[in-house]
Amino acid sequence: MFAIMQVETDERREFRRKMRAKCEFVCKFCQRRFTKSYNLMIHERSHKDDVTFTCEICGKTFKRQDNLKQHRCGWRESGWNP
Amino acid sequence: MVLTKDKAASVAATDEPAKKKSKFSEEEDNSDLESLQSALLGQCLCPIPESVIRRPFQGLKILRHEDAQGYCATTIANWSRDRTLLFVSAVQLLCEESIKQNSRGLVCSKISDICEALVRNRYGLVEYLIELSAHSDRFVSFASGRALSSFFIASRSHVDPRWLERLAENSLSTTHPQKMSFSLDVMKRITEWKDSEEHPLDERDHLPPASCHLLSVSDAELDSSQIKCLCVKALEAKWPAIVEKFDRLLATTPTRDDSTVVTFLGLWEAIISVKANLSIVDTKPFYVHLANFVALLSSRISPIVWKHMLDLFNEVLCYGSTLALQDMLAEEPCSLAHLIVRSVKDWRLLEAIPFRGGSGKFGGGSGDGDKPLLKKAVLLVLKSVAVTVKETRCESSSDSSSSVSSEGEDADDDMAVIERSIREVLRQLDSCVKTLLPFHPETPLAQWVVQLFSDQDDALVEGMVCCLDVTIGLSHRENASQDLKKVLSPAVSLAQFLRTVSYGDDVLLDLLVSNETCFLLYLLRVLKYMRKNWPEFVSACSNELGDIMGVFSRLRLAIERLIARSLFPYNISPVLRLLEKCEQLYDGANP
Repeated sequence: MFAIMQVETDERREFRRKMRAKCEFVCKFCQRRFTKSYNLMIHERSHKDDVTFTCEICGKTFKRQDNLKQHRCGWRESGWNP
Repeated sequence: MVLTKDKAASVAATDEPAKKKSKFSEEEDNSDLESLQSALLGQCLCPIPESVIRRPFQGLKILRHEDAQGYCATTIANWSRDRTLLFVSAVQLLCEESIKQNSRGLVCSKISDICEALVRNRYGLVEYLIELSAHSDRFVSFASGRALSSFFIASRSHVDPRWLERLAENSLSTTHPQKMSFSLDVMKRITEWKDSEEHPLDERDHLPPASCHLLSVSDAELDSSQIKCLCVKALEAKWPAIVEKFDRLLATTPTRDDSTVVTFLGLWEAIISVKANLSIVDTKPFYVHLANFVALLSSRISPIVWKHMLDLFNEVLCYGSTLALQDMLAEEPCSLAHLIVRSVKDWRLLEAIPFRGGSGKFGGGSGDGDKPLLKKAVLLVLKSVAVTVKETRCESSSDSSSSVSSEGEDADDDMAVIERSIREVLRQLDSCVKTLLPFHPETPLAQWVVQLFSDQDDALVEGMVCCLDVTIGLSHRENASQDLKKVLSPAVSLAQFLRTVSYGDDVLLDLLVSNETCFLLYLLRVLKYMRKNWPEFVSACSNELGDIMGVFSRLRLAIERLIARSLFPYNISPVLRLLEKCEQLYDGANP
């Protein structure tokens, strides 16, 4: 009576199995499957503790820009003036 | 938290009778632990004699006695609470210093030696720390849990799986109620451990002294994935019993011990979380009992437990990070989404939210209400709706590509039924939010979602992705409902979002570069939607179109500048191409 509450029938299981076989891109962190490489790239970003902002003086990387700014202040305090 | 000498003493001073304290202070010499702690804070143990480093670990003896409540409690023989606290804090400090130095690739040789001895369990440290879970002093029990989880992380590949099995067994022990919370908390800390960067404030004085004898270590020892995996494996066998225990506890009595329930739900969420980087195969057994817990969401449950349950369900429906990107959704999140949709539609789940902590509809009572709780509930409903639509659409598009037209019509019928249900769920959601918060009755859902989540970017962006995907999912039907399109209008959401960030392209760039929200996915989809439905989008934006396209134009230039300097951290070309196409459409309409 209620279409949302679908019962897991043999056909549905078979359908899921077939779909699984189509997937080509597997996440290296959790082994979930994706059919497009760009979608996998977007998904894998959420697994990472991204280090994306790089200090131009020492090469150290940071996930957040405000942390990099704070780090740069340390260089300035120590007398470094690039 | 690491308790240093002063902190431990002040904690002791607040709780322990003066008489008891003086008895131990005459006999006890804590100089070994004090010098160990101060050397660890200096990040080098080289100046400390080997005998002093090892003395506290030798000859430990656990005593058992019955406490005031009749439970079997433990203490370390001949040690005061101060010395025990100093000891477990020194263990935690030692392990965390070892982890930190290992991640930098250079470790003080004496720190390495003592950690090696502890990991080989030469002094039986693991057993002692687990025994201390039943210490009569809850500070000692807490600090032991912190020390034990740090010890496991520091041990990494050398962990004996039997230790973790013992810890999992400890969580079902009935000899002391503290044991369960202790074990669950240790497992939680291990599961959610991140091998991440240091805080920038820690880095300035992070080098050990020049006299330190440093050893270099290889990258292979840095990763915590193996210990996480062992931890989840050890827990798996006990999980059904643990879940049943909490299910019974929550179903039969008004919750007396919320903190243990919260720890349990936190552990469950940590295991399911995408951020834990655990294999979906390893975590599958932890999806089995979710439906029972949806049924527990009622006014009998305290707001804090409600929040943690909603966090758990929101984690299962990892829409923005995972489900929105897959063509074939796993069975478990789909079942949970169906159950939530049905609970809202047929069993008035939203009316049971303890918004004001009293009794009756939405928690009755008075006051401002619990907005964070409401936000979690709203996000859960939006995700459940999006998952339900996506699943139906994926299955029908797959059916229609390989079958005769009548099956395509069946799929359209399915979507029509789904659409009716979704309309009712969103109607109830809209009515709930407008009853509890001062939104104008005419504000469409697409707008209030952005206003509601404006102080929490991850939920905001995920909520917008859900609304957008539901619109796209339902618009494929020939007779798609126009009222839902209006309620969920992507143009209204986008305009409200850009107003919220004051049309700042730098904010958009930060969101794109960071991985803390699913903004990349949102931008990609909203730009695709704009390109495909340009005339409709233009008319929905009316006089704000110029401002919106101005932000996008500045964003494109900023991205191009970063790409030119090879500073964009990933391939952003698909977004760039879509930005260019939308600009062309805009320029074509406004030459």
